[in-house]
Amino acid sequence: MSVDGDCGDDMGHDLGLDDVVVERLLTGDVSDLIRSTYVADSVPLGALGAFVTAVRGLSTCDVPRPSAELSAFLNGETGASKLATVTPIGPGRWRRRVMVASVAALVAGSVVSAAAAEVLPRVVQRPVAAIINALTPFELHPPGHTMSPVRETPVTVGSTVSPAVALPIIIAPTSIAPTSIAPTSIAPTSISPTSIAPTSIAPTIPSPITIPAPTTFPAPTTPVASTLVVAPEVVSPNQDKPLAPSTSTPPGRHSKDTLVKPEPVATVLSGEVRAPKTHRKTKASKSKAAPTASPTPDTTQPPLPEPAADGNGQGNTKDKHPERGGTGDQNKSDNAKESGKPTEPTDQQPPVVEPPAVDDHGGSTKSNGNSQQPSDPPGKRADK
Amino acid sequence: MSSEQSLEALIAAAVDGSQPAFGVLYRQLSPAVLGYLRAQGAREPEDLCSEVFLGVFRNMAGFSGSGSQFRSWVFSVAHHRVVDERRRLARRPEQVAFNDTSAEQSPLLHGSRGDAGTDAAQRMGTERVLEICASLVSDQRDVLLLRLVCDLSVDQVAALLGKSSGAVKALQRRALASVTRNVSIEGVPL
Repeated sequence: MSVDGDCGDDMGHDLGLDDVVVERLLTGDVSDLIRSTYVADSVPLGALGAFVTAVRGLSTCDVPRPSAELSAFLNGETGASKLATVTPIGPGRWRRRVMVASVAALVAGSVVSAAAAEVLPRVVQRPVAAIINALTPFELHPPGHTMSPVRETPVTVGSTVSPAVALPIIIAPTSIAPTSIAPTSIAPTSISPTSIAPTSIAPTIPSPITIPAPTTFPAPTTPVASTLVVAPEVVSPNQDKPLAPSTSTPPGRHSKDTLVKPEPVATVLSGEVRAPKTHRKTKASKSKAAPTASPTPDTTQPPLPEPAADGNGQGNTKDKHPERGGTGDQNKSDNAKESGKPTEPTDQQPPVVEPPAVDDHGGSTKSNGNSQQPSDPPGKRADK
Repeated sequence: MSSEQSLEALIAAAVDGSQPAFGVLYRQLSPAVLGYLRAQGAREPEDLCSEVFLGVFRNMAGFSGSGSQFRSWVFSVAHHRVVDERRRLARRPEQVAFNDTSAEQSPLLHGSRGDAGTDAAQRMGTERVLEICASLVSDQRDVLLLRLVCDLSVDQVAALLGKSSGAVKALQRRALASVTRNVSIEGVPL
């Protein structure tokens, strides 16, 4: 039925009841209406009048028995002001609750967004970040926290990184003496987080790198210690400086695969064997000299193929492999060209190192993406 | 003093906090309220009537108006209680156990004079009237009962139901037409 009283099927079936007759039926005396002459014969006024009279009689019943609360009020036991004001929860109250919940959700979302943008005050940012870190899988940093660039680049042990990533951090083997490798020479900032696109990480490169017959490998190091492979059989005699782990990952934030142990580790970087005989630190490592500063330069050896470009899993493993016609020098020069860095002079070549007996696995291990951590302690391997 | 003036005096006394005035108001208006609630098909008309007057007396201090306005206010409270009960029952239908003695305990029979024939005729007539009222459309029943039982004017009913006066007149006309058809078909043992 509409607001105007249209009830559909009942329209047009008023049986001759006009407003005057209806008003007299509802307010006046029915007997007078029956005696009147203008009522249509189709209207059973007698029965209708009886019905109206019976309905009016409904209001003439006895006084109902009041409830206990009302009778107490009528007897003067409780005042009008002390009547219980129990009101059920109506739609208005629910609407108010929904509005309050919406506003609360909006405020909470704003606080979280502001905390994520680190625009909150320091006093507020810290507890909000702690709450979000504890309750959600997201991680917000407290104020003053500087994010390491390596932290966002998931370079892990065994992962193969495309040349676009590896090239800028490859140090020419002739420019670095093996003993000049210091943790500080691995500048975390050399890895540009912007240069590492997520798609540049290709962990499943099918072609394994096999380094041919062992020659003397220089001491190429890469700042990313992700491809360190231990070859305990070969020990470099003049390598008393252990290769420090990569410090690009901030303490406490490194992943499980990242080599972060501070103790010396016998490592082979793509054929080069480093076994810490002693834990004596060199001046270069102490003074955190530049990677090119070589305290023990040994220029007797020609530049060797650069296994780091291939063997450490970060080089161009496609067309610069020694087995595919490319030499280490070519790789080096190619890498240098690609990286935009000039080739380092050859007078700072690493010392001659006895070629490892079998070092094929170094390259292959690094390039096939498998993470092979040294299973034996470094000292034990050095003894072998 | 007319009944309207006496009602206004009672209302003024009740507004001032006179305790006997509340009792008099209850005795004057509660039968009509109870009849309206029963005709609307309330489950517990007496309890609902007490709730209506509790709500009225609770807010009595803030009332200002004439006697007819007070009646309109009281029946509007009763009407809203009925609507609330309908909505509540529509959400959660209640299962009421059959009680064949409910008709004998009806307040309408309190005035019986002991004559079995008269009581039977009255009971049948009241039940038949309630059946006819229940067969009406909700809006038509509301208008008809507010006009007949509560003795409200067309304008008061229109204000109570939120409709125009013309709509109320159309509704009451169609309600009477529907009642006439029911009566002419089956008859009313009134």
